[in-house]
Amino acid sequence: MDDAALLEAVAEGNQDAMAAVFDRYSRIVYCIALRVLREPGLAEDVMQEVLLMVWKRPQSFVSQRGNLAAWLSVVTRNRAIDVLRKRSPLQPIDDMPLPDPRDMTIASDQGWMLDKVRAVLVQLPAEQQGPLELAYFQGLSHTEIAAKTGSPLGTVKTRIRAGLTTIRKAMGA
Amino acid sequence: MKNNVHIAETDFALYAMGVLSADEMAQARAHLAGCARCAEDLRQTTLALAAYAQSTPEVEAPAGAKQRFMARVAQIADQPDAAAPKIAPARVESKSPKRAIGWSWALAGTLALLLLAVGVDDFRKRAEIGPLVAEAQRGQIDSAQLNQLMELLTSNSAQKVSLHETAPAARQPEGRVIYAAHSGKLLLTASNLHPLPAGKIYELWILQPGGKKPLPAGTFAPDSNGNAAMILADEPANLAVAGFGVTVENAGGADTPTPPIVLSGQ
Repeated sequence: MDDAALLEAVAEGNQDAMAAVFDRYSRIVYCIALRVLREPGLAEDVMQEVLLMVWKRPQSFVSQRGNLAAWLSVVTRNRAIDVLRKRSPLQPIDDMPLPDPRDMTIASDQGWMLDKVRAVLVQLPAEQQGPLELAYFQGLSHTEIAAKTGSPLGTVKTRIRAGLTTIRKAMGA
Repeated sequence: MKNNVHIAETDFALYAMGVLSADEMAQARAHLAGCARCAEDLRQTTLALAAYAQSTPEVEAPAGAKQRFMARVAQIADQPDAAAPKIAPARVESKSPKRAIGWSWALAGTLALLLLAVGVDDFRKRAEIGPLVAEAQRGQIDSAQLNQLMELLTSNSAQKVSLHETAPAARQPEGRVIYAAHSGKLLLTASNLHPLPAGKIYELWILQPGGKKPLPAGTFAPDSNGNAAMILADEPANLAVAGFGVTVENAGGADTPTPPIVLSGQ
């Protein structure tokens, strides 16, 4: 059963369908949350919160035909970063943009495409991997990354951009 | 980063990750509201970030996680109020049924829950919506209306504007607007509004740059506690918005704002 059919069933209150959604996406949601938070308990909390959003409002996905895997991935990362920031009173909680489900229409959950992304990430220069990891999975600003790495602000931005450009090229190749 | 200057390539990723400064985030959001080119670049960046997130090696969720999750699902399913969010009847008066959805949501519990669910933690005035529900009659929320709201709240290009009284006052009326330019959806919440004289109504205006004529966005009346909320589904899309204003008009609304502007923001 594809995502659309599953979500139709979820929208009808079918708990078995929701269990199937859990089976399909809980691992990727959990591992993203864990990569950010590094605490299994907190990661599970975020996983539950994100997946419960699907149970509470499946209509959003049914009607908008977005890519559920991609949307869940971005939302999970954002929620995990939010939790991370709340635990550190010195870091303000900034606006956290969330993707519009309709924007996530690319089939980014296709294994072959992710394999290509993983392949280019392995070969990504360390000076690009580092800032990208710090910004995305630790939620550090470019200013904080510059202070942490000793690199100029502009260089940090350029390296993050270059890393993402490489990923985009891999997705389009 | 000004509204009429495209977002720097190096800033797209930082914006999508939410790691720009608050000012930079606001400026980028304001620009994205009216720039299709940057919105598309942001979309591509977001997709790349999604792929980056998904490239994380998968690990199994902790033992018992599914049972705990399904228990929560069952718990919600057993609570009709939680499973099917309730809303209150409309308090907003709209000049045209076609322009507004035709209701204002006394969103309290529902909206507070949704805001938490979608992570809109910057929505500081969440509490002002609460009293609306307390006094509202309960009713089944329409799924299409819920979708409209969720689309607006989760849009990463929606413009959020706080409105403040133009002259100091003890009660300090204030409001907040979220406007998604790409879809033309708009959410207004307000609190501490002064009671209106008989035959009068509050009206929201979209202020355009360059001295263009303000566009009427909808009319609304506060409840007995001075709170109001309304969502409008088909405001003009892709507007270059300089700000928002609220005036007091005759019931039925006006085509041009009548001074003074009692609330404004940009």
